[in-house]
Amino acid sequence: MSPANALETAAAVRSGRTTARASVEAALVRVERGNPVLNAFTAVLAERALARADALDARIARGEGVGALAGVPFAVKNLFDIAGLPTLAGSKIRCAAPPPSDDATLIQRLEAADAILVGALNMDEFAYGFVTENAHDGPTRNPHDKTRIAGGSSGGSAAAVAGGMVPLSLGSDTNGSIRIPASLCGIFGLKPTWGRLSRQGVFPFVESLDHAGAFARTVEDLALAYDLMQGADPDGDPACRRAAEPVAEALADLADRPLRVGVLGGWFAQGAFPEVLSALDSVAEALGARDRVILPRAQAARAAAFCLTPVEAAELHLADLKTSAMDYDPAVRDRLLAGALLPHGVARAAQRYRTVFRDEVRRAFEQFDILLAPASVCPAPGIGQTTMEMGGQPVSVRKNLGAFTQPISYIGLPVLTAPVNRPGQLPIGVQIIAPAWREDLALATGLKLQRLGVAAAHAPPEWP
Amino acid sequence: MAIDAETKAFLDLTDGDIAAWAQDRAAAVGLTLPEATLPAVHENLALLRTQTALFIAALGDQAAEPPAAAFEP
Repeated sequence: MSPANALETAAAVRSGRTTARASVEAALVRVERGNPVLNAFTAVLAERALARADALDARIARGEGVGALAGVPFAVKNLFDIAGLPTLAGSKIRCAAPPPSDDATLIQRLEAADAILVGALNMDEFAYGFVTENAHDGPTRNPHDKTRIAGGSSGGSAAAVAGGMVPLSLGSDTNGSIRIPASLCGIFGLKPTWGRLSRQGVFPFVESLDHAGAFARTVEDLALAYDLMQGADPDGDPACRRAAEPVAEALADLADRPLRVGVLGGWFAQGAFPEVLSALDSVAEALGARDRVILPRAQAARAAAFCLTPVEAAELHLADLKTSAMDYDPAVRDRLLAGALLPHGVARAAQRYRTVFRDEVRRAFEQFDILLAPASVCPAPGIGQTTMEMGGQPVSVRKNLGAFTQPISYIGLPVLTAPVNRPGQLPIGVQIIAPAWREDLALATGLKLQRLGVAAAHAPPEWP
Repeated sequence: MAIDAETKAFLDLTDGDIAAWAQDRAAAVGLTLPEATLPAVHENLALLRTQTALFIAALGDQAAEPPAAAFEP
């Protein structure tokens, strides 16, 4: 049973070639078959989804207009509020939290376009990790090699799409949590500009750095979902003040235009596995990108993001750390405890450095429309693997998978992670980085690569 | 390097100082560090100290300046 893309599904539902109920039922069957293997879903909302599907089918039967994502099943990382369910954020200590009465803003916006929420997805506890080996819910497995991780922290979101269970999912990205799993699972992932998409109803990790975003199997699906989720939400998320700037309609033309593309070297090449650099080279060649761009401050920017993260996160968790530290995932707890001890001056200096690095990258964008970089240091490591080699040295997997993503989210730039077309091999993604608020450039570059066959989602496995 | 005294003290720690410093800091913020967490917490602090030194050095004299009130990407 092959899954359809979001646009194909919506067109079929709108035209009457299929029904929303049939679309949702097919997704639920794929979840039933695939999830025991992948462990991507932590909750399946069959009753809610089928009720919404039936209501949508009734509207279509009455000849009413329906939305652009009519009948498209989607799922969300379990840090998004879902009415009636505790917002776990991958934790045990929030099992007893009062359930929200409303869905998160982004869920509401997708459902306003008649997409249908079918479930919640596994993640690293409180989004603090790149592996989705959750101590409470178990590891999410990579659809392309079940012995390997899906990446994290939005690992369930990536695996659900890469595994063909849903065509669209939502995640969050603070230091790389959309870009790493998109890369390791071989699908497209969009982390928009910081402040672009509302985080209302998204359990926070590091407010200064948190972004909401999405995963899909095609650029067109991602662009449409992105457009539908845009729009200011200052009451729900004070950082989300920008009016919607839709991109989907203009992408095809923009992808035809020449773009000035540079390739980040220096920090963004150090320690990367040879196959990662080779994949990046193939993308650069397809885009005619010959210039190397060095950002001398990238390593210090990564260090600043690395330190700001536990300090801000620990402030949020301090009360629970005082009473229930041992109920946390150990890999998360130990970093939060360390963060709680750091002097406030560390966070202040880390915040101060953001503008310094941002200005350096702004200068680079005076000469380029797009900058390319690897997304992950390596293809997916094994489940349970604690160390890997970077630059000839053994280093922690958990602490280093995001070495190339952290400097970019630190300054809030929009990034599309595009899966390099490598059939039969482990997925590797490339970061397509655009100037602030220019998601259109990143998506158009992704569309160009998709048209050329250089970028493509890896085929999902067949479920028995 | 014009940074505050607490941050400077953190940066000046040797590996051998970290355990005692962590206990003092934990008491100051009202946190009890469970015994089982101590090795990993100390390891994380050592790594954070190294990383902090990187961007503090890169900031130079700007390290003591306040960050912008609201960050714009």
